Amino acid sequence: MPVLYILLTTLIAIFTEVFLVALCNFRFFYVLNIALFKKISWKYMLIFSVVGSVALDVIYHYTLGTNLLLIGISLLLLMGISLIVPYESNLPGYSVKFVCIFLYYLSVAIIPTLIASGQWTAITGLMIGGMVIKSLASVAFCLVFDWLWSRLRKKDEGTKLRSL
Amino acid sequence: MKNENNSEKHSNIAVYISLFLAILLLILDSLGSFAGIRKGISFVFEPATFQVNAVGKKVNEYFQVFVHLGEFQKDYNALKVEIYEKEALYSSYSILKNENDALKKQIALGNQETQYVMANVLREDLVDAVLIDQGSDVGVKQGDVVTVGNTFVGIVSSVDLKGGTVRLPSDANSHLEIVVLKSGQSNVTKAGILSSGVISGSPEGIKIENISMNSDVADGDTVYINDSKVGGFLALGYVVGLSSNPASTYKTAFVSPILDYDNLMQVFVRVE
Repeated sequence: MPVLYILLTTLIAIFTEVFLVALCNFRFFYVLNIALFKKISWKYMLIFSVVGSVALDVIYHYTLGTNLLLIGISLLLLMGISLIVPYESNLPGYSVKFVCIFLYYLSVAIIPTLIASGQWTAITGLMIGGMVIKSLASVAFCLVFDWLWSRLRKKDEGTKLRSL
Repeated sequence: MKNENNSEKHSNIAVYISLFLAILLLILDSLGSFAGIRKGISFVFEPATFQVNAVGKKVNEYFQVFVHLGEFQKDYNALKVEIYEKEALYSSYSILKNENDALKKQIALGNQETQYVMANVLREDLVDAVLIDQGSDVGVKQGDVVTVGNTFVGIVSSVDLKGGTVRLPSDANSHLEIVVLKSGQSNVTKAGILSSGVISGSPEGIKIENISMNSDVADGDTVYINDSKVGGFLALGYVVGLSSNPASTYKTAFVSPILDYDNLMQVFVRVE
């Protein structure tokens, strides 16, 4: 049953990603990966990432594995930095996320073209500005997501009343 | 604490597996091994994502309108300036056309012996008089008749070097003799005159008095000025609001002027 939930969430995430990319080039699927990282079981996380990124590779006409590679590198970077800066829901934690998300947007602009055609993409100041804004929006999403996640009751505490 | 460390450790394993799978997929797809899988996924997702993409782009277009609101404002202001320029140009054409029409009427009068001075009407808040921009320096003097073609406008009541005031028939001090002709009759002959009378200005309008009780004057008949001060027949307007009091010996009526005095732009002063 949880696998079904994960597949359904993946489908919704894919459609939301396509919608938001058409609207403002916002990478929702990746942000959701960041937000869910270390919150759900690694098996579900793996299913979610692999299925979603492969489907998105086909939709965006990327070489299969491109999205997964970008997500993997970004999460690896997040893990690396979290050895120095603690990965928590506080200002340093969100700053680390901001840097990782920004680097992800930068790599999205360069790596898919590099893999597909071997060409480097020219990065302009306007593109950097857009990336910063999108990274800030992504961090805001993570912030809201973390807050909502913390409000959810744990399975074994379902019958307990929440203390204000 | 132990569980948390395990979960973190396993999450790290998921990242390593993801990276390994990504590299594997990249290599195999580059070799063309996943063509079938690509087609399958494409077959399932493309129609739905196409629709979602279209919706996203449509919403984006709406947002773009807000983004480019400043440019639209600039365009709007530029268009406004352009419209003002066109309006200014049009009004200058309008003045020229008006002058042309007035001159045509004056030429059609065919009276070559009398001298006329063309004057522009100046705007003023006067109700029963108009100001003109020609004065005694061009020979305009008090008592001169002002016309447009064969239509009576008024009589110059005061004049200075560069301008003058024309008293309109609606002025309370204006008293002129008139004749009434059957409507549609343009030639003034003794036989065609239905009645004579006197017009004078009143708060209600230009009032005709002394219309003979036995005359066949009706609403719509034409009123011509026939006064020694004017010297000749000049059209004024049409009879309206004809009323007769059985106890009185004459009828009264009002004149609806041919000319709209508020919109006069050029007039001709008959210089004797």
